[in-house]
Amino acid sequence: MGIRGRFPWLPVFILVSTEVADWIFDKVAILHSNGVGIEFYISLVAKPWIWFGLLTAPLQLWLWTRILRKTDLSTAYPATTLSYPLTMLSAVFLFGEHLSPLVWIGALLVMAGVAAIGIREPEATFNAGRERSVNVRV
Amino acid sequence: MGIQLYLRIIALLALECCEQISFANSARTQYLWAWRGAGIGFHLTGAFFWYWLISVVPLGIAVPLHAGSYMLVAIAARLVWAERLSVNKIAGIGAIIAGLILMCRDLSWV
Repeated sequence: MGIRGRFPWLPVFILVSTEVADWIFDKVAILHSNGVGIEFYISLVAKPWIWFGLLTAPLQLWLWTRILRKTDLSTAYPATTLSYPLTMLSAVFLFGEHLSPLVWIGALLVMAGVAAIGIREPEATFNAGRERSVNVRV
Repeated sequence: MGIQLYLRIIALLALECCEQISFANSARTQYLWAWRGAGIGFHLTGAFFWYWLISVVPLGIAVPLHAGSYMLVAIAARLVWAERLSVNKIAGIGAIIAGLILMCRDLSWV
């Protein structure tokens, strides 16, 4: 994996934290909403928790571009999948949700799959008139 | 509830995929704002499904389920722009499918 400099732990930590918080606030807003159908959505929009995501979206975008300046996508992308297990743990402790081992294993597979999709292929370079060589960033 | 739940989950993932494709298309064509508008439309429509989903499904399950959209985006990129599906991507798609099946097999949350 290529790392241009030191891994930007703090921006990644803040990015993952805001993603987790966004999902938690969505759930809190749901729990405080009532009604069915349109009434449910009207009740939801009135909850300030919902607007956290809207406010943090520009921050998340800025953080992501900042992270990609410091490290490669193939390194940063898998790191962001940490938000999934952190959200699951938060759901267990904050909302008392019970997640079976099957769910945990499935979620880990999904995380691994997302990380694998985000990994960039090794770059190929051509030497004029010579065979193609592959540079792998280390 | 079973079939209706799965259909809504599929709809959510498809809308998320359409949103990503729309925004990506906005950078590739001259119809910048049309595609951005479409992306925002897909996002807002998907939000309705998302909030419904987390009202009936535990958050700890809904979030990894939602990540299934990454798989659809990779497949859509192949279909729309003929982007190459690398070994990594194919393995990733397989892992996501396996993970989603495992999570859906545990129907205690339905």
